[in-house]
Amino acid sequence: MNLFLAEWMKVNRNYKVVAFLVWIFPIGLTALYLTLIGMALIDERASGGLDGVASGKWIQDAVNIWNMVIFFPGNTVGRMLPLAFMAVVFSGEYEWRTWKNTVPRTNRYRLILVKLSVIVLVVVIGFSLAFLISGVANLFGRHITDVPYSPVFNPASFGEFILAFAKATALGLLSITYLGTLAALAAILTRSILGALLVSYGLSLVDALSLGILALIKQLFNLPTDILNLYQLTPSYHIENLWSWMFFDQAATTLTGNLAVFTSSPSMTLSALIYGFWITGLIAAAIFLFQRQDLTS
Amino acid sequence: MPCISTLEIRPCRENIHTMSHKPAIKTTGLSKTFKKGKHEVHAVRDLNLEIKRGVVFGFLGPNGAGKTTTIRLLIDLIHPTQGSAEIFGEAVQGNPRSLNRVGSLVEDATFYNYMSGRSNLDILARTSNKFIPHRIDELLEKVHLEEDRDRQVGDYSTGMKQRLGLAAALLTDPDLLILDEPTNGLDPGGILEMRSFIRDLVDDHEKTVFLSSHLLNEVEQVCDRVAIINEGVMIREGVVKELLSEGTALLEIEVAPVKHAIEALKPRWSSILEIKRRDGPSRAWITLDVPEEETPEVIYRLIENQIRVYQVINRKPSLEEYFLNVTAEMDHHGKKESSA
Repeated sequence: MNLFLAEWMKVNRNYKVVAFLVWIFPIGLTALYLTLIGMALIDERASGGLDGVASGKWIQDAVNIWNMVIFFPGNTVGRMLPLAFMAVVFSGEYEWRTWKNTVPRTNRYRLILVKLSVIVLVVVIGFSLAFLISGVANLFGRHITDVPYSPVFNPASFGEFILAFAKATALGLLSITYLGTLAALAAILTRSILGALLVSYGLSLVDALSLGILALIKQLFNLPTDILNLYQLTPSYHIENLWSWMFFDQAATTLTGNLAVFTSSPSMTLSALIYGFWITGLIAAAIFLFQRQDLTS
Repeated sequence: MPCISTLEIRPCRENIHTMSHKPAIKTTGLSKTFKKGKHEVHAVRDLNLEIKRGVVFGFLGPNGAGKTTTIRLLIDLIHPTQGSAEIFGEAVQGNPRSLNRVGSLVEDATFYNYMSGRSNLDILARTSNKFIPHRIDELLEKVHLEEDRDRQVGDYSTGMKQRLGLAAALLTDPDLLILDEPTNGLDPGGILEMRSFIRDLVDDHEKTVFLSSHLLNEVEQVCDRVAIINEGVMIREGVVKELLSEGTALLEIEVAPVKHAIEALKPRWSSILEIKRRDGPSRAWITLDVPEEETPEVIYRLIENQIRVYQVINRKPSLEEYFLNVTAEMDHHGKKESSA
């Protein structure tokens, strides 16, 4: 617990970093909604602004907050800030030459695991707050400015909102943990903030674009369509499949515009296992490398 | 462990004795080689050290000699290529428990600049799982940072950071303190205070201090024992006073004319170490490396040659001179070997 508190303090006292890379989501969203609602209250003609940023399906709009880190194409850009935050936290220890203070005080693997837990928790809190702010501000703002929305707020829709929040947070937690492992690995390999950001973002981009990459390979080498099924090995597919099971109670077998139709339909359990395998494997690799690493600065 | 004797079963005094007197630090064949591209750099080579408890042990060597690498090996920041290190009888490598009784300050003190001195210590104490709030305040007072404890470390001077580093090293009340160039960045007052603080730790609190430094007078003034390391190899180890009494004494003579003095002495004493001119070209100090008992003979030879002798000082070499001699000897041997 002490180690967790130490990491928590370390991360959250770095106000500039945590504010610009994490709290910017809930704070930015709050500012946006306050502005739009304020404008709509002052001048009725400005009420269309709320429609400009959200569809009015307030539960779905809130759920969409997580799209920017989970789904293509939003994830190609949306992962940048969380990854930058996590890269700073991990590789800052190298750049600030502070590992030498902490490493002799405890096990190296504990340092990595606790740091990972803290950064994942901070990012998930940031996105969860953004989710709640989006849902509440959208609903409340539309209600007081008479802009249409659905579903009508009642105990049933509130229950639906809470359930969607729980599901999205659970999947967001998995997705952010995966990104955290990429950041940890990249930081250990590069020992620099910029290096960690570039490498982790590069790895996440390869993952996010893996279907496109497979399609390109298929085209270039005139390979059979089945090669696209390899996408079903990637973390991107499995988080998408978990999302599909959680929200639509079915496997993700097609992609937007029928770009690909997969031949197999992995169950939620299988996808959870494979995604867990990816996360565990990446954490194990990070710990293995860190345990063997010479900390020379 | 009980000892079984023919008369009775009693606690084994030898075992208790051995356990409590395990050396504070023991290294066996400790070596570290860094690979830089195609080249290998042997930072530490076959280092065998045994440091008893309750002493200030100086680890002396020029920059790049391997001092910091040794310290990093001792606190498991880097892994040895060969050999092993033990702290209070426990293997260090891959065993963080062995460092529970160790406090360290490696190279210059670095912290999270965006946090206060107090918060930095708070974090380190929690990381050690030994968070005692009043101890942090006591230590900040001890290193004279009580008024700056809430300032961001980024605004601290180098000396203040160094003092905070010492406080960090003392957070867990360790039995062994490993300090790497601890007086770096301190003002003269701070240096004196640091030295007396280190001595107090050993003399009054029965701690052991392993102190690396390239400042010979620092080691001479603070340490009980010293090891000299150069190019990764330990070249001498012993009690400071004994090392200094090794070999010959130094004889300093102020003479004129210096040219004739050198001509008179050279045939018998070729070991003229230094000539310091003063008051014009003819008068100078000559330093000779000769046994003390030969002093009268040297003076006789000078007077016999009608050389004026103004002052004669017979003294032991400083650790600095000793160190320079030893490293020069080593370089000489190295060159001989490589030419052979």
